[in-house]
Amino acid sequence: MAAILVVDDDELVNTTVRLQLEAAGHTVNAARHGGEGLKALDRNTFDLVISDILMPEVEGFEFIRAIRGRGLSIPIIAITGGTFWAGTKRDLDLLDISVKLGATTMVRKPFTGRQLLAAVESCLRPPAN
Amino acid sequence: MTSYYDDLFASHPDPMWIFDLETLAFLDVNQAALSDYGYSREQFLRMTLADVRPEEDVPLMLGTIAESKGRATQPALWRHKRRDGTVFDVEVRTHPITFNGRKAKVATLHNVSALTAARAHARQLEQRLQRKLNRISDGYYTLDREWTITFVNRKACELAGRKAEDLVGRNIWTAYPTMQNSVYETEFKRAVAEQVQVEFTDHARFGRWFEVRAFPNEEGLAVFFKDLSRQRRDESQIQLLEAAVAHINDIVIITEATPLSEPGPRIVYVNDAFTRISGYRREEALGRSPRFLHGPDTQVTARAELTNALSQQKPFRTELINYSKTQEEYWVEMEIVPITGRAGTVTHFVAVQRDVTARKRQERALAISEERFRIVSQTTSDVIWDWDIVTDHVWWNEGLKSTFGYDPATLPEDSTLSIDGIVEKDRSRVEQAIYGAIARGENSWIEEYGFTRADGTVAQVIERGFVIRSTDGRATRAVGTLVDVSDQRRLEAQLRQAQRLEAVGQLTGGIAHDFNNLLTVILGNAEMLAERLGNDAVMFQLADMTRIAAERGAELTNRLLSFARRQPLDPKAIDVRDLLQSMDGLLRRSLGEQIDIEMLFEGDVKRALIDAAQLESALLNLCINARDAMADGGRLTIETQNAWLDDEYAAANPDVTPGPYVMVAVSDTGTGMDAETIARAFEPFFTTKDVGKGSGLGLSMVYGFIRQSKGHVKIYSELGVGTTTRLYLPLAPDDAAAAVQTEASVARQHGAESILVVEDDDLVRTHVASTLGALGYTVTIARNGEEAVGLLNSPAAFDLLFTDVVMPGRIGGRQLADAAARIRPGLPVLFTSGYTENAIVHNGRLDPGVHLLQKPYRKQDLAEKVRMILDTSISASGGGS
Repeated sequence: MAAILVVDDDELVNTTVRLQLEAAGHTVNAARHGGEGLKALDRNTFDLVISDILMPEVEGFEFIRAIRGRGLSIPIIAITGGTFWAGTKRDLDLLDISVKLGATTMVRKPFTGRQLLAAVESCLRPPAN
Repeated sequence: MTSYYDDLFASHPDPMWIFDLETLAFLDVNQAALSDYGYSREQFLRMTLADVRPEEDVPLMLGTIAESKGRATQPALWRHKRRDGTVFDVEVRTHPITFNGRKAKVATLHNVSALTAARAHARQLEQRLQRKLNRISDGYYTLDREWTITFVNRKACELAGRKAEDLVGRNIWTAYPTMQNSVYETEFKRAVAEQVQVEFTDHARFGRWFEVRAFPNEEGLAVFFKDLSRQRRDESQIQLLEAAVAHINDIVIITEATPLSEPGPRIVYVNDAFTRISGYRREEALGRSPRFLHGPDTQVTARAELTNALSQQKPFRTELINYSKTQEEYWVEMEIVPITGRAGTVTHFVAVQRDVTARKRQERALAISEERFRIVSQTTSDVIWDWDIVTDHVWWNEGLKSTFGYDPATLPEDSTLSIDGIVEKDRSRVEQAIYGAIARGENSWIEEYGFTRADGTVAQVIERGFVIRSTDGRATRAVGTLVDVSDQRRLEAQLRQAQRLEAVGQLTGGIAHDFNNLLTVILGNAEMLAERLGNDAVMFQLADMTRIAAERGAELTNRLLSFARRQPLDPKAIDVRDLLQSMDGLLRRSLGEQIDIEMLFEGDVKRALIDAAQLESALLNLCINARDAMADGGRLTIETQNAWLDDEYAAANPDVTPGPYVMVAVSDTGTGMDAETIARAFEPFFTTKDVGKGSGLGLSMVYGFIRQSKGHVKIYSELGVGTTTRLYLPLAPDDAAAAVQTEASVARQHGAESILVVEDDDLVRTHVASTLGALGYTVTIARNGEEAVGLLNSPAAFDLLFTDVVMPGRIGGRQLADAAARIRPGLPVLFTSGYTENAIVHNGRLDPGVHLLQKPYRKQDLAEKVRMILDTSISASGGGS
């Protein structure tokens, strides 16, 4: 089973995801924003990062960039209930941006435990080839 | 005694003779008689009295002698004849005597020829005097000391209106009682009493002005008088004329008649108006020609005509520009009249000039204004009307025909169309508003109403009316416009609709984010509960219902996002025909057997750039709506073809970008919709279906999805006929064409400046360096902020700093720009970022207004932006650094 870092400012989401992952046998550390997430990454080694995008302090984009900036190739699953930057002329899909910044895959909220675990499995499993 | 008498007789200086009373023979004559009559004594003594008389006088003489019967006679005047035949006047006195015993008379003869001649002369003189007195222009009469009129000359008779014979011999106070107790009586009596000449004027006695002069003389008084009435009148008239000419508002200039050639006739008189209007003092004008008032704009033709008229000595009228002393131009309307002297030749010209500058300016202003109005009324697309309120006559410009289809020439001249053209529901309101505004004394009104076009359709118009009032405030006329705002109102309604949808969309997008978090929790926990409670059927069901409800909530959120154009899309180039064919089975199952389905495909339909799954969902939604509109069955037609939305269509539909599209249309033969329903059809939660049969989000989702996909939706529907909903989908981009266009543009954006590129991503950095290098720029690269600061501190020359915003390390894009501002003030900075400008600015990473190139960018974007900043910087600083 894997050590997973979950970063989400919504405590209910954070807890739910942790319970879902733990039910599947994973070890979970939780952080409330990117800053905490980076500290956690400094202290421990993880197999996977699940991160919300729209968070206070250090938001998802920076967090993902920072992870990649440190040269870490750890898989990252981006999750968000939002879809677009609001009020922009060219609406940009938050998850598209996340992937471009270095996220491995994306799961849109709301998601079921099964959907999340499917994404986790695909990230942890080595490439098919 | 006898000898004494003899001596007296003989030596008497007057001729004397004695004649026989019977025979009339001379009995004795004296020496004077001999010498006076030319006879000798002997001859006399043989003659009788008849021989010294002209023959014609003899009978009278004989009669007189017989009558006198020998008595003495008073001196009588007779004519005597000398021996030489000459006749002369003689005064004869006779006295009876006895001579030698015979009855005789002695006669004393006094030659009075000199006296009679003198008398005749005196009579002649008197006649001449009378003639002269009659000829003088004054009235003249004489009075004796008894105030009797002794003479009246002809002028006096004329002035008195009486004949001389009616006056001469009468007492003046009786003849003219009004003179009594007047200045006449006092002055006349004073003149006589004091023997002085008196002179006075009087108006009271005869109602006319008489100037009277009286001269006392031996006889009494000679009076001269003249009637001054005319003179007085003339004098006062001249004074009046002088005053009038001097003070009249019009300019009066009098010149001599010559010379007409240069320098022109000299001015001899100017009035006050001249000095006031021209600004020249009188002395400055006198002696010069009026031509000195002419100037650059004085009309050459008018001047020539003027000179011509003057040379022909004809009156002439013209309008001329003159110049004042301060060289200001003023217009005069002038009339020049030649003045003829006694000799019959023209001596002067009188010019009367009226200052018409104000009128000319008004005329010019009016002409400009009319010209302007004519141009405006011809060129404007607005309808202009002019309503004479008094006669109810209405004038329309040509705009009435082009805008509403009515030909002004064939309309009734009154306000029929103005009133009847208003649609019935607006008519009384508008009439009341207009007449109310007029009645309340307002000067304008603005009303919006429906106006029936000639073809029967209704236009939405705004009428602006301006009331023109007479000086007493009565509204006499109104002028205004009718502007067709139908298109504007339609666009406004569409815009309002779009804005409402946008607002709801933003709201929805905001809610969806939080809602999704909640649903994640509910869904996740319900799922876990259901798994754990799998053995307890009742508990499992409770948990599972919670999960299902959460899933429905998720579905609803997704629909809302779709409508709000916030759903994540995956647009790809697809062939819509393939998609429709794949849906065929699904549609037939969904719609049932009562509905015929027909699919029409154009042969060569281009590929659309669209999210296929969402398009399928949208089409299914439209088909379900069509089915619901055809409860009793009908025909559903789905067609697809290439379409082009042109500029005109785009102008009427603000959300449309003109260009090529792939069109998919879903048509039914159902109940149709009215205009009001169509207008609201895209609103979320608006539904015509029974409660529970529809969410009211179907068309909203379709609309949101298509709009988000840069497409366009149009509904056409008629009640009872059916509905066609057309989806216009954007075309898949033609990559080859775009590439050609990009390269062509890039070629024009080259430069030779030096650029410092700071980018942490190796691939991007390499790409940017090669692109800018290909454009001719000198490129220096840095992998991060620290490296860049080092280069900025080096002697290397840079014209532009091009840096990423978000970079690992202490120095991000913003910090680097700050450092550059310190190290190299004035060095322009271009940021680049994957974030949108709004996102970056709002997160405080950059100040508003900085140059930002958003990733991903095209080569052309980069080239243009770099060139633009360098050009701006050069023009701002006057040279590069």
